[in-house]
Amino acid sequence: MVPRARPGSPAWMGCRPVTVIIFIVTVILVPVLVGEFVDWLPWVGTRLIRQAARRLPLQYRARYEAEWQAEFEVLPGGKLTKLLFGLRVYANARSTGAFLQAEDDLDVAARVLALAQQTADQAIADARREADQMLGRVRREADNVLTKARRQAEQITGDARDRAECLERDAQERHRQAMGSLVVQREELERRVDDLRAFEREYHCRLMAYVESKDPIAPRLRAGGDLDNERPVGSASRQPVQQQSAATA
Amino acid sequence: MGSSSGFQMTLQTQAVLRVLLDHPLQEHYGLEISKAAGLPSGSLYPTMAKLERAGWVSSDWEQIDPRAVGRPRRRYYKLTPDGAEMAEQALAATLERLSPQPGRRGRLWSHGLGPVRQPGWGVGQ
Repeated sequence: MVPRARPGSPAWMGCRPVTVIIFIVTVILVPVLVGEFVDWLPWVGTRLIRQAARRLPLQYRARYEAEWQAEFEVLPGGKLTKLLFGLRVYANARSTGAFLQAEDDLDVAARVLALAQQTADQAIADARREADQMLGRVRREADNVLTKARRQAEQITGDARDRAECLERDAQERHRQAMGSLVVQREELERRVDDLRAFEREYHCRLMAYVESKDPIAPRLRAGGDLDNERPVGSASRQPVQQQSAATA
Repeated sequence: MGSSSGFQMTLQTQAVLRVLLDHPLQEHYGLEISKAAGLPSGSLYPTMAKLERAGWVSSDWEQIDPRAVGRPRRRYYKLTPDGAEMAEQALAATLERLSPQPGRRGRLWSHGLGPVRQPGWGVGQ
Protein backbone atom coordinates (compact mmCIF):
# COMPACT_ATOMS: atom_id res chain seq x y z
CA MET A 1 0.00 0.00 0.00
CA VAL A 2 1.54 3.21 -1.18
CA PRO A 3 1.26 6.06 1.29
CA ARG A 4 -0.24 9.10 -0.15
CA ALA A 5 1.11 12.52 0.40
CA ARG A 6 -0.82 14.77 2.53
CA PRO A 7 -2.28 17.83 0.92
CA GLY A 8 0.21 20.70 1.13
CA SER A 9 3.25 18.51 1.80
CA PRO A 10 6.20 17.95 -0.74
CA ALA A 11 5.78 15.29 -3.43
CA TRP A 12 8.50 13.02 -2.14
CA MET A 13 6.69 12.73 1.12
CA GLY A 14 4.41 10.35 -0.65
CA CYS A 15 7.25 7.98 -1.76
CA ARG A 16 8.09 4.72 -0.10
CA PRO A 17 11.07 4.64 2.26
CA VAL A 18 12.87 2.08 0.03
CA THR A 19 12.57 4.36 -2.92
CA VAL A 20 13.94 7.18 -0.90
CA ILE A 21 16.82 5.05 0.24
CA ILE A 22 17.56 3.93 -3.32
CA PHE A 23 17.37 7.52 -4.43
CA ILE A 24 19.74 8.64 -1.71
CA VAL A 25 22.21 5.82 -2.47
CA THR A 26 22.09 6.46 -6.20
CA VAL A 27 22.27 10.18 -6.14
CA ILE A 28 24.56 10.78 -3.17
CA LEU A 29 26.48 7.75 -2.00
CA VAL A 30 27.45 6.21 -5.35
CA PRO A 31 29.03 9.41 -6.69
CA VAL A 32 30.75 9.90 -3.39
CA LEU A 33 32.05 6.35 -3.39
CA VAL A 34 33.06 6.53 -7.05
CA GLY A 35 34.82 9.80 -6.39
CA GLU A 36 36.53 8.30 -3.40
CA PHE A 37 37.56 5.26 -5.44
CA VAL A 38 38.86 7.40 -8.26
CA ASP A 39 40.79 9.52 -5.81
CA TRP A 40 42.42 6.37 -4.51
CA LEU A 41 43.53 5.24 -7.98
CA PRO A 42 46.83 7.21 -7.97
CA TRP A 43 47.63 5.80 -4.56
CA VAL A 44 46.95 2.32 -5.91
CA GLY A 45 49.20 3.08 -8.89
CA THR A 46 51.96 4.21 -6.55
CA ARG A 47 51.59 1.06 -4.50
CA LEU A 48 51.70 -1.02 -7.67
CA ILE A 49 54.93 0.70 -8.72
CA ARG A 50 56.42 0.04 -5.32
CA GLN A 51 55.39 -3.59 -5.46
CA ALA A 52 56.73 -3.82 -9.01
CA ALA A 53 60.09 -2.50 -7.85
CA ARG A 54 60.20 -5.27 -5.25
CA ARG A 55 60.08 -7.80 -8.07
CA LEU A 56 63.45 -6.57 -9.30
CA PRO A 57 66.85 -7.58 -7.93
CA LEU A 58 67.74 -5.53 -4.90
CA GLN A 59 70.33 -3.35 -6.56
CA TYR A 60 67.87 -2.16 -9.22
CA ARG A 61 64.86 -1.41 -7.04
CA ALA A 62 65.66 2.16 -6.03
CA ARG A 63 66.65 3.23 -9.54
CA TYR A 64 63.63 1.79 -11.33
CA GLU A 65 61.14 2.84 -8.62
CA ALA A 66 62.42 6.41 -8.84
CA GLU A 67 62.25 6.32 -12.63
CA TRP A 68 58.74 4.90 -12.67
CA GLN A 69 57.51 7.28 -9.99
CA ALA A 70 58.95 10.25 -11.89
CA GLU A 71 57.10 9.28 -15.04
CA PHE A 72 54.00 8.34 -13.05
CA GLU A 73 53.73 11.81 -11.58
CA VAL A 74 53.96 13.62 -14.91
CA LEU A 75 51.83 11.09 -16.73
CA PRO A 76 49.34 12.87 -18.99
CA GLY A 77 45.73 11.81 -18.54
CA GLY A 78 43.50 11.10 -15.61
CA LYS A 79 43.68 8.94 -12.56
CA LEU A 80 42.61 5.85 -14.46
CA THR A 81 45.61 6.34 -16.77
CA LYS A 82 47.88 6.36 -13.74
CA LEU A 83 46.30 3.15 -12.54
CA LEU A 84 46.82 1.53 -15.93
CA PHE A 85 50.44 2.71 -15.90
CA GLY A 86 50.95 1.11 -12.51
CA LEU A 87 49.27 -2.10 -13.65
CA ARG A 88 51.48 -2.34 -16.77
CA VAL A 89 54.61 -1.63 -14.80
CA TYR A 90 53.63 -4.26 -12.24
CA ALA A 91 52.78 -6.79 -14.96
CA ASN A 92 56.12 -6.32 -16.73
CA ALA A 93 58.24 -6.13 -13.60
CA ARG A 94 58.51 -9.90 -13.21
CA SER A 95 60.03 -10.44 -16.66
CA THR A 96 62.27 -7.40 -16.21
CA GLY A 97 63.46 -8.71 -12.86
CA ALA A 98 64.08 -12.19 -14.26
CA PHE A 99 66.07 -10.74 -17.15
CA LEU A 100 68.16 -8.49 -14.91
CA GLN A 101 68.78 -11.36 -12.48
CA ALA A 102 69.84 -13.65 -15.31
CA GLU A 103 72.18 -11.00 -16.69
CA ASP A 104 73.64 -10.41 -13.25
CA ASP A 105 74.13 -14.15 -12.83
CA LEU A 106 75.90 -14.24 -16.18
CA ASP A 107 78.08 -11.32 -15.13
CA VAL A 108 78.89 -13.04 -11.84
CA ALA A 109 79.66 -16.26 -13.68
CA ALA A 110 81.86 -14.34 -16.12
CA ARG A 111 83.64 -12.61 -13.27
CA VAL A 112 84.13 -15.91 -11.46
CA LEU A 113 85.41 -17.46 -14.67
CA ALA A 114 87.74 -14.53 -15.25
CA LEU A 115 88.95 -14.74 -11.66
CA ALA A 116 89.47 -18.48 -12.02
CA GLN A 117 91.34 -17.91 -15.27
CA GLN A 118 93.43 -15.20 -13.64
CA THR A 119 94.14 -17.47 -10.67
CA ALA A 120 95.06 -20.31 -13.00
CA ASP A 121 97.33 -18.02 -15.03
CA GLN A 122 98.94 -16.79 -11.84
CA ALA A 123 99.40 -20.34 -10.61
CA ILE A 124 100.93 -21.35 -13.93
CA ALA A 125 103.24 -18.33 -13.88
CA ASP A 126 104.25 -19.10 -10.28
CA ALA A 127 104.81 -22.74 -11.14
CA ARG A 128 106.93 -21.79 -14.15
CA ARG A 129 108.93 -19.30 -12.14
CA GLU A 130 109.41 -21.83 -9.37
CA ALA A 131 110.36 -24.48 -11.92
CA ASP A 132 112.87 -22.09 -13.49
CA GLN A 133 114.32 -21.30 -10.09
CA MET A 134 114.46 -24.98 -9.22
CA LEU A 135 116.02 -25.78 -12.57
CA GLY A 136 118.63 -23.07 -12.07
CA ARG A 137 119.33 -24.32 -8.57
CA VAL A 138 119.61 -27.90 -9.78
CA ARG A 139 121.88 -26.82 -12.62
CA ARG A 140 124.11 -24.93 -10.23
CA GLU A 141 124.22 -27.91 -7.90
CA ALA A 142 124.91 -30.21 -10.83
CA ASP A 143 127.69 -27.91 -12.00
CA ASN A 144 129.13 -27.86 -8.49
CA VAL A 145 128.92 -31.63 -8.22
CA LEU A 146 130.42 -32.02 -11.67
CA THR A 147 133.20 -29.58 -10.89
CA LYS A 148 133.89 -31.35 -7.62
CA ALA A 149 133.81 -34.73 -9.34
CA ARG A 150 136.16 -33.50 -12.04
CA ARG A 151 138.48 -32.12 -9.43
CA GLN A 152 138.37 -35.39 -7.51
CA ALA A 153 138.83 -37.33 -10.73
CA GLU A 154 141.81 -35.20 -11.64
CA GLN A 155 143.18 -35.68 -8.18
CA ILE A 156 142.59 -39.42 -8.32
CA THR A 157 144.10 -39.54 -11.78
CA GLY A 158 147.10 -37.56 -10.62
CA ASP A 159 147.50 -39.77 -7.59
CA ALA A 160 147.15 -42.85 -9.76
CA ARG A 161 149.63 -41.46 -12.24
CA ASP A 162 152.07 -40.67 -9.44
CA ARG A 163 151.54 -44.10 -7.98
CA ALA A 164 151.95 -45.71 -11.38
CA GLU A 165 155.13 -43.77 -11.95
CA CYS A 166 156.31 -44.80 -8.53
CA LEU A 167 155.43 -48.41 -9.24
CA GLU A 168 157.12 -48.17 -12.60
CA ARG A 169 160.18 -46.74 -11.00
CA ASP A 170 160.10 -49.53 -8.40
CA ALA A 171 159.62 -52.10 -11.13
CA GLN A 172 162.41 -50.62 -13.16
CA GLU A 173 164.57 -50.57 -10.07
CA ARG A 174 163.70 -54.16 -9.29
CA HIS A 175 164.27 -55.07 -12.91
CA ARG A 176 167.55 -53.30 -12.87
CA GLN A 177 168.45 -54.96 -9.65
CA ALA A 178 167.28 -58.36 -10.87
CA MET A 179 169.02 -57.92 -14.19
CA GLY A 180 172.17 -56.73 -12.38
CA SER A 181 172.24 -59.82 -10.18
CA LEU A 182 171.59 -62.05 -13.17
CA VAL A 183 174.48 -60.44 -15.00
CA VAL A 184 176.65 -60.96 -11.98
CA GLN A 185 175.51 -64.57 -11.71
CA ARG A 186 176.03 -65.02 -15.43
CA GLU A 187 179.48 -63.56 -15.24
CA GLU A 188 180.15 -65.78 -12.25
CA LEU A 189 178.84 -68.81 -14.11
CA GLU A 190 180.79 -67.88 -17.23
CA ARG A 191 183.86 -67.45 -15.11
CA ARG A 192 183.28 -70.90 -13.59
CA VAL A 193 182.66 -72.35 -17.02
CA ASP A 194 185.93 -70.82 -18.17
CA ASP A 195 187.64 -72.19 -15.12
CA LEU A 196 186.16 -75.60 -15.78
CA ARG A 197 187.17 -75.45 -19.42
CA ALA A 198 190.66 -74.43 -18.42
CA PHE A 199 190.69 -77.25 -15.88
CA GLU A 200 189.44 -79.64 -18.50
CA ARG A 201 192.09 -78.60 -20.97
CA GLU A 202 194.75 -78.84 -18.37
CA TYR A 203 193.41 -82.17 -17.17
CA HIS A 204 193.16 -83.41 -20.70
CA CYS A 205 196.72 -82.37 -21.39
CA ARG A 206 197.96 -84.01 -18.26
CA LEU A 207 195.92 -87.05 -18.99
CA MET A 208 197.28 -87.28 -22.48
CA ALA A 209 200.78 -86.83 -21.22
CA TYR A 210 200.23 -89.57 -18.68
CA VAL A 211 198.62 -91.88 -21.15
CA GLU A 212 201.35 -91.34 -23.70
CA SER A 213 203.89 -92.15 -21.12
CA LYS A 214 202.17 -95.37 -20.08
CA ASP A 215 199.97 -96.64 -22.91
CA PRO A 216 201.18 -97.94 -26.26
CA ILE A 217 198.11 -96.76 -28.07
CA ALA A 218 198.82 -93.20 -27.25
CA PRO A 219 199.82 -92.22 -30.77
CA ARG A 220 196.36 -93.11 -31.97
CA LEU A 221 194.86 -90.97 -29.24
CA ARG A 222 197.00 -88.10 -30.30
CA ALA A 223 195.83 -88.68 -33.91
CA GLY A 224 192.18 -88.27 -32.75
CA GLY A 225 191.13 -91.90 -32.37
CA ASP A 226 188.32 -93.16 -30.21
CA LEU A 227 189.91 -94.26 -27.02
CA ASP A 228 186.62 -95.18 -25.31
CA ASN A 229 185.68 -97.70 -27.97
CA GLU A 230 188.93 -99.51 -27.49
CA ARG A 231 188.90 -99.47 -23.72
CA PRO A 232 186.61 -101.51 -21.54
CA VAL A 233 183.74 -99.86 -19.75
CA GLY A 234 184.53 -98.66 -16.23
CA SER A 235 188.23 -98.17 -16.95
CA ALA A 236 190.42 -95.38 -15.58
CA SER A 237 189.54 -92.95 -18.39
CA ARG A 238 186.28 -91.96 -16.63
CA GLN A 239 187.87 -91.04 -13.37
CA PRO A 240 188.77 -87.45 -14.20
CA VAL A 241 185.11 -86.70 -15.05
CA GLN A 242 184.06 -87.94 -11.68
CA GLN A 243 186.76 -85.83 -10.08
CA GLN A 244 185.55 -82.79 -12.06
CA SER A 245 181.95 -83.29 -10.83
CA ALA A 246 183.16 -83.53 -7.30
CA ALA A 247 185.20 -80.38 -7.71
CA THR A 248 182.22 -78.51 -9.16
CA ALA A 249 179.98 -79.54 -6.25
CA MET B 1 77.67 -3.47 -19.27
CA GLY B 2 75.63 -6.24 -20.72
CA SER B 3 76.95 -9.46 -21.92
CA SER B 4 75.74 -9.44 -25.49
CA SER B 5 72.94 -8.59 -27.80
CA GLY B 6 71.25 -11.84 -26.93
CA PHE B 7 67.73 -10.46 -26.92
CA GLN B 8 65.02 -11.01 -29.46
CA MET B 9 64.39 -8.30 -32.02
CA THR B 10 60.69 -8.00 -31.26
CA LEU B 11 58.40 -5.47 -32.89
CA GLN B 12 58.47 -3.43 -29.69
CA THR B 13 62.28 -3.43 -29.69
CA GLN B 14 62.34 -2.41 -33.34
CA ALA B 15 59.95 0.43 -32.66
CA VAL B 16 62.05 1.67 -29.77
CA LEU B 17 65.24 1.46 -31.82
CA ARG B 18 63.67 3.39 -34.67
CA VAL B 19 62.66 6.15 -32.27
CA LEU B 20 66.16 6.30 -30.84
CA LEU B 21 67.77 6.18 -34.29
CA ASP B 22 65.65 9.07 -35.51
CA HIS B 23 67.62 11.29 -33.12
CA PRO B 24 70.65 9.26 -32.16
CA LEU B 25 72.38 12.10 -30.35
CA GLN B 26 69.35 13.18 -28.38
CA GLU B 27 68.40 11.90 -24.94
CA HIS B 28 64.92 10.46 -24.46
CA TYR B 29 62.91 9.63 -21.36
CA GLY B 30 60.52 6.74 -21.08
CA LEU B 31 57.19 8.44 -21.70
CA GLU B 32 58.62 10.23 -24.70
CA ILE B 33 59.88 6.99 -26.23
CA SER B 34 56.58 5.22 -25.48
CA LYS B 35 54.59 7.95 -27.13
CA ALA B 36 56.84 8.15 -30.20
CA ALA B 37 56.94 4.37 -30.58
CA GLY B 38 53.20 4.03 -30.09
CA LEU B 39 53.60 1.77 -27.08
CA PRO B 40 51.36 1.72 -24.01
CA SER B 41 52.91 3.64 -21.14
CA GLY B 42 54.45 1.35 -18.57
CA SER B 43 55.27 -1.45 -21.01
CA LEU B 44 58.51 0.07 -22.27
CA TYR B 45 60.87 -0.69 -19.41
CA PRO B 46 61.72 -4.37 -20.04
CA THR B 47 62.83 -3.42 -23.53
CA MET B 48 64.93 -0.53 -22.26
CA ALA B 49 66.47 -2.76 -19.58
CA LYS B 50 67.48 -5.32 -22.21
CA LEU B 51 68.92 -2.67 -24.53
CA GLU B 52 70.80 -1.09 -21.66
CA ARG B 53 72.21 -4.41 -20.45
CA ALA B 54 73.26 -5.23 -24.00
CA GLY B 55 75.20 -1.97 -24.18
CA TRP B 56 73.18 -0.53 -27.00
CA VAL B 57 71.68 2.18 -24.78
CA SER B 58 73.03 4.15 -21.86
CA SER B 59 70.96 5.97 -19.28
CA ASP B 60 71.52 8.69 -16.77
CA TRP B 61 69.54 10.84 -14.42
CA GLU B 62 68.40 14.29 -15.47
CA GLN B 63 70.60 17.00 -14.04
CA ILE B 64 68.01 19.26 -12.42
CA ASP B 65 66.86 20.33 -9.00
CA PRO B 66 63.50 18.57 -8.51
CA ARG B 67 62.29 21.21 -6.02
CA ALA B 68 63.12 24.03 -8.38
CA VAL B 69 61.51 22.37 -11.38
CA GLY B 70 58.59 20.97 -9.45
CA ARG B 71 58.86 17.38 -10.69
CA PRO B 72 61.12 14.40 -10.05
CA ARG B 73 64.21 13.77 -12.09
CA ARG B 74 63.74 11.79 -15.28
CA ARG B 75 65.82 8.90 -16.42
CA TYR B 76 67.19 9.71 -19.86
CA TYR B 77 68.17 7.10 -22.43
CA LYS B 78 70.60 7.52 -25.30
CA LEU B 79 72.07 5.24 -27.96
CA THR B 80 75.72 4.41 -27.50
CA PRO B 81 77.95 4.69 -30.60
CA ASP B 82 78.27 0.92 -30.84
CA GLY B 83 74.59 0.55 -30.06
CA ALA B 84 73.64 2.89 -32.88
CA GLU B 85 75.74 0.92 -35.34
CA MET B 86 74.39 -2.42 -34.17
CA ALA B 87 70.82 -1.10 -34.16
CA GLU B 88 71.23 0.02 -37.75
CA GLN B 89 72.55 -3.39 -38.74
CA ALA B 90 69.86 -5.25 -36.80
CA LEU B 91 67.04 -3.22 -38.30
CA ALA B 92 68.52 -3.57 -41.77
CA ALA B 93 68.81 -7.34 -41.31
CA THR B 94 65.24 -7.51 -40.05
CA LEU B 95 63.96 -5.53 -42.96
CA GLU B 96 65.98 -7.63 -45.35
CA ARG B 97 64.51 -10.77 -43.85
CA LEU B 98 60.98 -9.50 -43.85
CA SER B 99 61.05 -7.99 -47.34
CA PRO B 100 63.08 -10.24 -49.62
CA GLN B 101 61.43 -8.92 -52.77
CA PRO B 102 63.84 -6.73 -54.75
CA GLY B 103 61.32 -3.98 -55.38
CA ARG B 104 60.21 -3.72 -51.75
CA ARG B 105 62.45 -1.56 -49.66
CA GLY B 106 62.11 -0.55 -46.09
CA ARG B 107 62.45 2.75 -44.44
CA LEU B 108 66.19 2.45 -43.92
CA TRP B 109 66.72 2.07 -47.64
CA SER B 110 64.80 5.25 -48.22
CA HIS B 111 67.24 6.98 -45.84
CA GLY B 112 70.21 5.50 -47.66
CA LEU B 113 71.10 3.22 -44.74
CA GLY B 114 70.58 -0.07 -46.53
CA PRO B 115 73.27 -2.11 -48.31
CA VAL B 116 74.55 -0.44 -51.44
CA ARG B 117 73.81 -2.53 -54.48
CA GLN B 118 76.48 -2.42 -57.13
CA PRO B 119 75.55 -2.30 -60.82
CA GLY B 120 75.23 -5.76 -62.19
CA TRP B 121 74.01 -7.35 -58.96
CA GLY B 122 71.11 -9.69 -59.48
CA VAL B 123 71.83 -10.16 -63.16
CA GLY B 124 70.56 -13.53 -64.23
CA GLN B 125 68.44 -13.98 -61.11
